[in-house]
Amino acid sequence: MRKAFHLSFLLSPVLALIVSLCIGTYPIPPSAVVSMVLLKGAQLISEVLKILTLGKISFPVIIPYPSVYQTILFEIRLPRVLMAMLVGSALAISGAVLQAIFRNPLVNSYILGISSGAAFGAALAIGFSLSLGVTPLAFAFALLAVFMTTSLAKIGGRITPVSLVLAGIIVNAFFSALTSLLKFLMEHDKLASIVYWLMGSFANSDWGSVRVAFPVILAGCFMIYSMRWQLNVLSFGEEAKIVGVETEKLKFAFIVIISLITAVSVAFCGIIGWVGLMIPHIVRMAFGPDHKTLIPLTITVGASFMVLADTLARSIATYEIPIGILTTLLGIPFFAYLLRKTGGGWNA
Amino acid sequence: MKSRGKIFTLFLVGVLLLAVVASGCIGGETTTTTITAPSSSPTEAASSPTTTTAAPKYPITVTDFAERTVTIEKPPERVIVLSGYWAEILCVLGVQDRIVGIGKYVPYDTYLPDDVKNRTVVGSNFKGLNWETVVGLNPDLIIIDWYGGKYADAETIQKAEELGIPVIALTARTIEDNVKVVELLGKVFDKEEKAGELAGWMEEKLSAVKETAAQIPESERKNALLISAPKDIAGPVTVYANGSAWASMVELIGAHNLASDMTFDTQWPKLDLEKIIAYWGNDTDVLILTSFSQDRLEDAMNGIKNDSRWQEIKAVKEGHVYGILAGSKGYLDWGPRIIVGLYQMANIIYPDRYQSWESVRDELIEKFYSPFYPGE
Repeated sequence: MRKAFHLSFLLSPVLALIVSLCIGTYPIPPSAVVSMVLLKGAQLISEVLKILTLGKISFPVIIPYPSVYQTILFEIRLPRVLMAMLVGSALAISGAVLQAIFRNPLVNSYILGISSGAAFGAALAIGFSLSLGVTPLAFAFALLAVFMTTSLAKIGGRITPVSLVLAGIIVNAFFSALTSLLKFLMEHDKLASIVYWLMGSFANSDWGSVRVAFPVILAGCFMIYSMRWQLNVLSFGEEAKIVGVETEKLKFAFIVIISLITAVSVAFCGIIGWVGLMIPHIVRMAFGPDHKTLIPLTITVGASFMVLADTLARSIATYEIPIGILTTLLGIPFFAYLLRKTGGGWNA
Repeated sequence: MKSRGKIFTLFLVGVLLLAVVASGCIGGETTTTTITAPSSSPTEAASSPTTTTAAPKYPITVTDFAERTVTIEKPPERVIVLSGYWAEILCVLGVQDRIVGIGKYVPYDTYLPDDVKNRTVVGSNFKGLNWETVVGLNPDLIIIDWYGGKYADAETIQKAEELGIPVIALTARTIEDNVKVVELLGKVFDKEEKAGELAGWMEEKLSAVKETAAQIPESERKNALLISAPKDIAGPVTVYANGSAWASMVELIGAHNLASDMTFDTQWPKLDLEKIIAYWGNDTDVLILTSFSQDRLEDAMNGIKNDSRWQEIKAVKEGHVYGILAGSKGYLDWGPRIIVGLYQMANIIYPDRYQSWESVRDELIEKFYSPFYPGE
């Protein structure tokens, strides 16, 4: 029974993907969605075969649906759905890793200053209409903020949970103040743009953003997945050192990976709160604190949750609802229920 | 450890410097001002009644656009005006010398003479005024925009009333409101004759549009979609829907504004591309983009024309994508220029039915703006 439960959570992104692709403002029958996806898959296979066999084997696949269906499904919905899944898993796994290595249930990757750094970068780009664009600047400042936080937190060559949280608060406050200053000085229409950006959205996702985010987040998740055993060791804290694990180097490696994947997520989609804190806790409460199961489940549940939340965000009303608001409103009741029922599940 | 500390300090300093430079760049716009000596005001005020022929008319009582009753005791001689488009009307009325303070964005209005643009900047409609500067200018009238109390407008009125400075709050929810503003300002400054000329010209151009619009047969009625040029054409797009004054211009011309068919919680809903295609993809005859920036407008138009997703919108597929520059560098703005903007939009939607907007612009400049308009 438990195994089936576990497996269903692991496979939940597949179902979430199909459901999300079927839902949208433009009416496309679900049967058409499924067959178009299958045909598109066949089309891709035929093209790959054609290249591999130098054109000897080719079977043309025709998708017998109107072009508007194909545009909506493959150019608008699919990149957005993929982006939501990538960002959901990146934020969730980052939260899980930070909670483990600092043995602090209250941290997520935003404590490193990533969100406020990215916000400042975005505000700079929007405020000055910089040609470089919002995404690269948000990314650069997110990383700068992490660098500042970890440098500040490093006392005597090591980062303690307390020094990290305090350094994060300092850096967050610093960049928030700078962002507020920019917002105050900004012209009115630009102020509206930055406020909208800060609320987070997947509405500008296209294949261009997927092409950048996909390799980075996939590689990051894979590296964390392959290092998930070490997280169990790190969560012992000081005892890990006694058994001879180089905890500081490991911590540093983890921080670099999650900084990269969170910064990419935030740079493309703005600040989507609560997911990084909530998803790891939900998984931990449901399946226990062992990172061997926790990490893969966090990735899949994060992806499913985010893509379903975004599907609601784009289809619940005639207009777009900022995703950050929905993730919080959707997550809280569930989180509260689990907290009451399990008492937190934090006894690692 | 030490060197790392140094690097970090350098970074901090760098970011701080950047922030200072950044704030300096934006802030700079507000500080390039000259303070006019407030001491000169009593003599000016004292000498004015003898020079103004219609002096006995005051006090004048008017109702402004915030439904307030305002009494102007004496001819306004030291005026603060927060918006460039209303300042243009003051120039047409020939009272530009009485402007002593301006709003933050007035210097960007290319239709104003330099001496008006160089007046002391006192703040903005959105974020409020610097009251020390205001009091230092000793104004006897403040002209602000009324947003229903949404920004700093209600606050500004309250504060000015406490200080005993009369405030006229103006707004334009429709094109006709712009004509009413001209008439109101004519009354306030006792320049009703000149105001009547301008208002009359605006009315005449407006009724010409309405007459032509009424003659357009139902079968030739075009469906238009008016959007704000998006920064990222894949991203959410702001659509002008019911309640937006610009959207009402589409209807005035005799076309149909598609977004007015639906109910949104704002007149400027942000929609993703799928929604736009789903709602109006097959019906859009003309797609009009607006932006305050010419570059943004051109980028977005090129992007949309060459994007495969946007081809699902009928107007894009058929090549009917147009742009109108908004704000103080174009004509889609408040004040008398809106009439030119209306003809721009009319020319776009019905190329053969209306007088060319260029000739309307030339009329406006020749008849009313030439005494002060610095030219392009």
